[in-house]
Amino acid sequence: MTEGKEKRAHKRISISRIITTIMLYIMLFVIVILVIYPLSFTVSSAFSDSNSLSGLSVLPFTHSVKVDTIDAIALGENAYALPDVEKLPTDKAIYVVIPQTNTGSATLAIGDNAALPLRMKAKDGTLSEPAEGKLKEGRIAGITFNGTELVVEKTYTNATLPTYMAFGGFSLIQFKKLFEDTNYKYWFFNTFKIACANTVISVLCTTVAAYIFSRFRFRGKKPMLMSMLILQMFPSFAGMIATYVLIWRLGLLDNLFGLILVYSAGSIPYNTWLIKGYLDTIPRSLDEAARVDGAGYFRTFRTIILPIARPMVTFLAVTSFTGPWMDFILPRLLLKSDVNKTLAIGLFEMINGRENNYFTQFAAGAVLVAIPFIIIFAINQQYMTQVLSSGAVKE
Amino acid sequence: MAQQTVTSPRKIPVRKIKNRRPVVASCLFMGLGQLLYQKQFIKGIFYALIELMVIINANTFLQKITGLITLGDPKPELPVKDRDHSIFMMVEGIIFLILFVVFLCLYVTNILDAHRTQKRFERVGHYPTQRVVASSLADSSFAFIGLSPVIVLLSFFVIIPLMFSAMLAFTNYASPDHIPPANTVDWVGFGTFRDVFEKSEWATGFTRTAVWTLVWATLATVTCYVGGMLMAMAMLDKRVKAPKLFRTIYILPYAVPSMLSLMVWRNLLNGQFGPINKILIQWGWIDAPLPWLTQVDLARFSCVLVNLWLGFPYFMMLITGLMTSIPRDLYEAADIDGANKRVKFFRITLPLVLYQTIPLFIMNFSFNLNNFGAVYFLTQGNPSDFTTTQSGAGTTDILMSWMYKLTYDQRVYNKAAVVSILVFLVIAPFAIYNFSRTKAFKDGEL
Repeated sequence: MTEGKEKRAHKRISISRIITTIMLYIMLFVIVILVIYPLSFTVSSAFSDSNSLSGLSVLPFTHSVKVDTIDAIALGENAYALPDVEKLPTDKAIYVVIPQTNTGSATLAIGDNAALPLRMKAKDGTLSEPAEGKLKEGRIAGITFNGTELVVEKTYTNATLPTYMAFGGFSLIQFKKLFEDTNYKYWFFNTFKIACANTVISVLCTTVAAYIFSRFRFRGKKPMLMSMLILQMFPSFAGMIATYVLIWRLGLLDNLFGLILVYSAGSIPYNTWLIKGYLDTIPRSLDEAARVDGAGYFRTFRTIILPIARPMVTFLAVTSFTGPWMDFILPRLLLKSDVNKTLAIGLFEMINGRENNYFTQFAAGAVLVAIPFIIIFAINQQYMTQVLSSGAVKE
Repeated sequence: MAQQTVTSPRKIPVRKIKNRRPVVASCLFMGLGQLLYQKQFIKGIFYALIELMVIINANTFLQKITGLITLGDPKPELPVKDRDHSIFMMVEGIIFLILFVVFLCLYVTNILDAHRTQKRFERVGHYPTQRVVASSLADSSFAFIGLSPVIVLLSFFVIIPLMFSAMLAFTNYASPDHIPPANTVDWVGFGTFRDVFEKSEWATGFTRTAVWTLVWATLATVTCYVGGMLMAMAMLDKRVKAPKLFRTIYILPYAVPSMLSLMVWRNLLNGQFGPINKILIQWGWIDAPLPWLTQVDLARFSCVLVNLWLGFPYFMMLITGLMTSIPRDLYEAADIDGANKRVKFFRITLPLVLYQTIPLFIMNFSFNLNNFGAVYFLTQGNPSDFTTTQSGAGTTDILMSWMYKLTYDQRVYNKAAVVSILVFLVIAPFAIYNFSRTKAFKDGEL
């Protein structure tokens, strides 16, 4: 009997629960879209064949159509020659005839007859079925044609709607352009070289130094450790100008090695502390046992300490590897010629000030970089949880 | 009761030595005492060589260090190549100054070493043989060799640049009048500081940038934190099926390199051609494209929004981890006491999570104070306003990005150095706070 009453009581609350559950799901999905949209837009731009941002469709992976030339602006349905923009009427419908490369022409209605859908006008004059897309009316203040498409100034109309027609397929032309027209492969390999060298130098110098700090006692140890701590407080480019002058003096400007040196030096304070903390948790008895067996310091370090510290050292290696890929300020300062640039600089300059024309190339470059990054991130995540939960790091 | 003086464990009572001559000899010339009196040939020759090298190069030392003080004289009659290069003189002066300080330290070490050997002699009766010395040196050489690359790298690429940058703030090294080698640079004391604070456009630019930096850091951190917490709560709600899938998707903004995302957003929010405007117009929400990045308030709003997009996954992951680690017994005890969900959240979950995340909140705050990329890649400090022509600070610039623009675009290095000193003064308390919370410091072990 009581069970039946509980079930009924349960059912009474459920309506508000259903509403809140629905709202929760709606919110989650909206956020999913917000999170994914920029990424999918970039990926779709990387595979599109349009050059500029304005030629891209809003929805990812719909093919955008390139418009070659503009034929005429027609009043009514007859094509006229291009009139003065100022003389365009604002109360009548205007058809803009834009020739297509393949099948005919598309007409675009602006103004009064804004409800007229977009239709294709073939060469023999027949109008096609209306395509998707609703037009919005607006006042035309000026129409310009930038070689790729129609841009309506001062008022926004769907003058760029022709790009919404989906003709299917995607192209790899952006990737081709990336490798042919820019020095992308140099940038990629430069950054790769820098990352590898930084990893090797960082890991070597830092682990040895951390071992020494952890195991030895010598005069000046405490001041050195304190000063390392204080040094890591300074923001990295407090010494920007000075680094530039130093590298200049050493003759290493526009040389990858200068950059590598600066990276390695900059990561020393923090990493030494990190590894030292980790090594401190390894019991000294291991060292002593090794010494009793006759091993020298380096032998002990190499054969006993390093294998135990492997998780931390691997973490350090991965961090040192991924760090230089997206660093911007230092390479911008120290590297000049296009062939020596790193990825970050190259990609940035692709879209800096030329926002419109190279976005798809940039998207291609970005996709090529982001995929390995995401993979490394995923691996590192699992690794990090392993390292942190193994108990050897106490922080 | 007789008071016994407690000697601290570090101080070893210094006994006076009877024969002072080796120490005095070492004072006069490095290694002399070791060579003449103490038969310490290895150490003696080592120290003596160092002193010899310094004496041979004494002229260079003098020249470089005076160069640091004078920073060169303008020599308009010489071709540009041959004139005094003030900045090189400054750098070289610093390097030689540091070398000189190292030399002085070695000198003192030399004297102390003579003293120590003498004391040991008077206690033991003989000087250590060279073989013993050699083997003990070989033992301690590992530490020295292992640390030397670190020391060299650090002093060259970290310490010297910091000293140099601090000194630059006291010069007038700036474009267009004071760029070597065509011109010289001079010391101006606090003149640059006064310029930054007093000259009206600089001062307005500086205050505006500083205020916006603080506001930005607060907004950015708070929005990311609250957003992350909301998402964490949503993820942990039992009604959500497949939370892992959602979580993987939501982590994407954190996995993708932020620089790339920022540049993508910059294009998305483009006033004329950006797809966001296109979408909003197509849906009929707005009539004309919104100037996301070109109107002052909207640009600042966009900065905060995009940073929220980038930053909420971090806090979401963190808070999820913390929430799941709260022991269940607390909730069960609350259930027994008759608490409903709201009470359980506000009285148990929230306080615990807040307490544990405060240090991370502060770290994130200081990170955002310095968050160059989030501002520079998105807006580059634009839109600019009336103070920008003089001071170079755009309306969305934070101190860090302003400093970068001063250095790279405008080449006004001394003002950039001033700003960097001020920024450091602001950051230092946070860094000290962070450091004081680390376990190593708390345990007192170094």
